[in-house]
Amino acid sequence: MQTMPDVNQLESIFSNAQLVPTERFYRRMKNAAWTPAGITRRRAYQMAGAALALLLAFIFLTPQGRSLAQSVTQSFLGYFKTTDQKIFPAPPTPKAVPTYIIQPALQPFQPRITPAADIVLCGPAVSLLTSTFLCQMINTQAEVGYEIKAFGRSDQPLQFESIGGNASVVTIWYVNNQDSESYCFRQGIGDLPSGCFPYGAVPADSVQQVKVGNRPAELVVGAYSTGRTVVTWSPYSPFIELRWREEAHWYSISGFRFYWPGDSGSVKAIRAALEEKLLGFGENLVLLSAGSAKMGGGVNQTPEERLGFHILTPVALPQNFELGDVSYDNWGSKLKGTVSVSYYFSDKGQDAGSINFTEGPAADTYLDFATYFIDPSLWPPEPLAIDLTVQIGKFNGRYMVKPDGSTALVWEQDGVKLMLQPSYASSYGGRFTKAELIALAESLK
Amino acid sequence: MNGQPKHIFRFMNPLAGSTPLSSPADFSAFYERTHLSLFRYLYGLTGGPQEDVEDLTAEAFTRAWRARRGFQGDEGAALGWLMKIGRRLAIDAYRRRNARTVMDDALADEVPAIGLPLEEVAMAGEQQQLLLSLLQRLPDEPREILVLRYLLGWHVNQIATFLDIPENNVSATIHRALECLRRQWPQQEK
Repeated sequence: MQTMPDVNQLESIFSNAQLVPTERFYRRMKNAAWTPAGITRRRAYQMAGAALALLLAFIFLTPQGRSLAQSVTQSFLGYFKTTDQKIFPAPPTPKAVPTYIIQPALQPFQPRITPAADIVLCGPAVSLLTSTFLCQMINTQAEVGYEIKAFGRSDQPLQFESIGGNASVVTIWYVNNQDSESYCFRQGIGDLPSGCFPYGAVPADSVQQVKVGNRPAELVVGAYSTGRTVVTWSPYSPFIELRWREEAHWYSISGFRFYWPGDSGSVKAIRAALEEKLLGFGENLVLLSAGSAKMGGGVNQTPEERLGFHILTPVALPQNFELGDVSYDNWGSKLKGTVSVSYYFSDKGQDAGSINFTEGPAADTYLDFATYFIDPSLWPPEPLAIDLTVQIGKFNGRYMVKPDGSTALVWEQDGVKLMLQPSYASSYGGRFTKAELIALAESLK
Repeated sequence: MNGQPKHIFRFMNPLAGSTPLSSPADFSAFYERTHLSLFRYLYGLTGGPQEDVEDLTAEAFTRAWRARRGFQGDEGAALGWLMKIGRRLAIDAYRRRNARTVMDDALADEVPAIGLPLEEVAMAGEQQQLLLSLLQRLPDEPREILVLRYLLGWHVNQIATFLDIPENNVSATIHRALECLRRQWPQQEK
């Protein structure tokens, strides 16, 4: 029999291990971010990213943006409004609006629960926090008054995110965390409204003629990029929208991918794959009446079943706050298995901000909200302006303030890790104090 | 040793100095001096494959570069910080590939060099592979301690400071882990 090596021999084998990277590694590092080539490339990406962010802010937040995007000159099938212009003057900076005062006195809070559709399996009421995603869809269908469709089951790692709608348009969001992609599926009766990324008129030569099944459809790749003085159409932005009609109904599927320097595959290949996925989704739509077994996205789960822990909710909120949004796996999918519950506040019809609770399982030892708040990896982190240990009821917490003034409270209770972050409209004057945030945190049950 | 501030590590590390990482030139020099250590550390923690470890190493440096302005300390402390970034990436990668890894682990129980002919096992390179393969069967902490001790050549007191555990625990863990590896070493008829 071969004798076992003794400890000294094992140490010797260890110490003599010749572990070195291959040439492939060194080739890659020649263009790393801190090298001259890497610095140049990163600046280009940052500029493109900043332009994209400005564009989205412009489009979503300003009437000038919406009207600019709606300038129309011609169309093909007419699913997209088109223009021959690819460069527009940038709109003027919006004027500051008056500020308001938050009423921080906490009021007893009862989540608003939408009356359920007449569907036995959904029970007497439907809630964003407790009902299955399928029930949320069925309820929306009952509210809008026509049959709606959802993505069919496929081999794509889809996850249902949210649904909302009115008589003219129903919007369903899905995500694909594996590929860092978001999909927005819109449908309705009548005229096609703007898509989920409402760029309105697009350059005529950006519209491709495609087919969804045997139906003619149009597809646009790209988005507007806002500079200091002009707005320019960028055909390389990772936005794709597909539109088509089926009898009285119209459909629109938009796809957006987060991609970063270092992602494998070329931008062209990534866009081609995304395009193929959107066409696949379009050809694989199913009516809700087909049943959850034929649908993609895990729609048979409740939010808590999806997450695997009890979602804590506040029993008291400041005046005029309402449950507005429930989203999952935030921060570009970096916080998998977490949920963010947002309570919105509007004052005189103006969006003024929100209170956001992000929650994750305490059993996830790698989940660290404080680290993600400081964000050490995605952006050069700055030292916190304030970092205090605080008491939240009987739990210890951490109150943090960044140099830009953004605040967070992080703590753990009842098997859940939590982060509370207020967010304010840029022109909004009200701010929560540390004591008010702690009071909000203590109201979680 | 418990409770000792982690920054003491920088006084014990051979790389200790006062060079910041903020400029591209400084970071480039830091990369040149530390990339082999990080690569070996991640190789030891994950057991490969080589390409994945190279990717993790590259990504750790990229993250460190992005986060460099938030780092305070000298280059010695920077190595510890960098390794923690690398470890977190390795954990994330493991979790992403959990299903695949479980399958790989199952295969690993069959495939590793345990079943190789003795003549091959006797070859030094294969002994290393076998040892690295057995290393992956250890729990996280003993595995990391062995990697730091033997693949990176750190002293016990450096390891204790880096992992924030008592020195005698480090020594005892090294002893027990080596004994565990020794017992798992395959025996085969000539």
